[in-house]
Amino acid sequence: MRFVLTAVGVNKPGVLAQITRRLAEKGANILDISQKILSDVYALFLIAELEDSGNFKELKEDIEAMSERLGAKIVLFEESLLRYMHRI
Amino acid sequence: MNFQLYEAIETVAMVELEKLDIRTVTLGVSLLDLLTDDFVEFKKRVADRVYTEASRLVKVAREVEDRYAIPIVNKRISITPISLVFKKNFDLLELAKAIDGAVKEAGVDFIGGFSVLAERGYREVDELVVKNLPLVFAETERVCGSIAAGSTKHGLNMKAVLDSARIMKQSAYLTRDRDSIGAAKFVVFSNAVEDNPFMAGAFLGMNQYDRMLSVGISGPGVVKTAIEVFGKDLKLNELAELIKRLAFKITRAGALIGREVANALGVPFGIVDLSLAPTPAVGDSVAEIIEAMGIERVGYPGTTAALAMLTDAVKKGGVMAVDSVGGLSGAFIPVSEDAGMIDAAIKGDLIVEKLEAMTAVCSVGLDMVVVPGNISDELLAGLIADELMIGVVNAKTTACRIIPAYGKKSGDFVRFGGLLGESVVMSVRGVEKGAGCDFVKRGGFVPAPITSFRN
Repeated sequence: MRFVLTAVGVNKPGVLAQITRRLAEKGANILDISQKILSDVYALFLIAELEDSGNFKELKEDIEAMSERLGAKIVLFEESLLRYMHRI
Repeated sequence: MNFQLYEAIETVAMVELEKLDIRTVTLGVSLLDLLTDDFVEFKKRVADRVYTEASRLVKVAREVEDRYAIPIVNKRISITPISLVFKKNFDLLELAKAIDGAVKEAGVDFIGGFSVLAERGYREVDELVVKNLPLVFAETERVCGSIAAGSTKHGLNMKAVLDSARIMKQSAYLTRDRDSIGAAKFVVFSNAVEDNPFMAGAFLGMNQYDRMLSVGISGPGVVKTAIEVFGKDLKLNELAELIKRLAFKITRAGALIGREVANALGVPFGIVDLSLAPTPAVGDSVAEIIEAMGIERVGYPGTTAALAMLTDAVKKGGVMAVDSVGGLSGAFIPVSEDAGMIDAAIKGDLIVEKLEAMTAVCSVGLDMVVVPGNISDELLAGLIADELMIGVVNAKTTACRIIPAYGKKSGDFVRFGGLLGESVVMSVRGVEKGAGCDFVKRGGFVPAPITSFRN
């Protein structure tokens, strides 16, 4: 299954590295990634694939729990939501 | 499929900042096959079925919620209108208590369907149900009910209107220690819809599946923010386009989640109700949308026009987004549940008569309007009749969920808590003079209206 990860927060070194390292540890394969920085705030967006959708809940909780430590708001959800909302 | 960063951020911001949520997933459950003359057996069958279905709904809704970033605020059950499966030897209150216990244990927020379909008139058993409804609303927590009192096809049944006024008054009296909250669990309709997922008026009509899952979306905050950010200098037709696009996105999200829940439950997907449903939270208000559109204050001249445009744009965007639309679809204006409406009512900017005018162009009616407790049954029935005839004549659904707050007078304050909110008691002309209404006391029907010569 494919999922989306967004993170918005105060820019500091290593945020992307820590998120992607954890994704790799959990076996998620990144398909698309983009990041923008506006003054001190960054916005990160990536789409990744997870072979076993049964592991998504644990992965979502695990990564969203990193929010506070990284000073960011991290949200994960299934890709189909973006497809439904933004494509006709 | 390529997505852009801003699209993902927009989705997350809708939920995190603008309070987008799925207001309700409502599972319709038929009781028709459970009929028996033995009340004890019937009660057990109904409570068992409701518990089984409600437990599955709660579990599945939580799982789906985990997969997406959008919260599902309420899980609800709607059942076959109870009067259709009721018999003279049955005990309505006992049945309601058994059902209330089952839904509480399962974790469902509300159950709707303690309802009577009386557009044409009462059947014998209907009177028994109607008589006992106030006790049901007073002594159960989550059971809601309704009366369908009129329709464009049949006209308006004035006895059902007067009975509805009495149900409101009695429910309010019986729950006088809780600001008359009992009356908030009852609604009277014209042109009642059979697939409405919203409370208090949800029931599963006879022309629906045995089980089906419908979804009610929310999202006033999303629309308001977009109008404030992108809509400042737009002409009205351009503003309508902006609202349509947002309604499309919100509806698609609702439809996706509704379908996922339906699939996981193995039941047909019913409908998406497109209504913009406010909550008492600031920023989640239909009144604030109207003000963002350029009306200085909700209730001032221009309000009805703005609401009409908003409702139409929401419907147009929503209909494009999903193949099965139903329920009440439009914009809700429940006074006590909308921070902007409450504020306008407190300051006297929004009055009952203006609300009535607004309901001619949106869904649903005089909703969560708190009126003085000493209003006479007949005058309250007159207010209901006014509202319902707007629906009968215009071939649309209208409804009244009015709380005649016992012991309270105009300007007093009541607090219900949760999604039901709080409100000032609004004044109704004639109450202070102790007025009645001989028109409703005549009884009989207001005949069905002619549907040509529409001027």
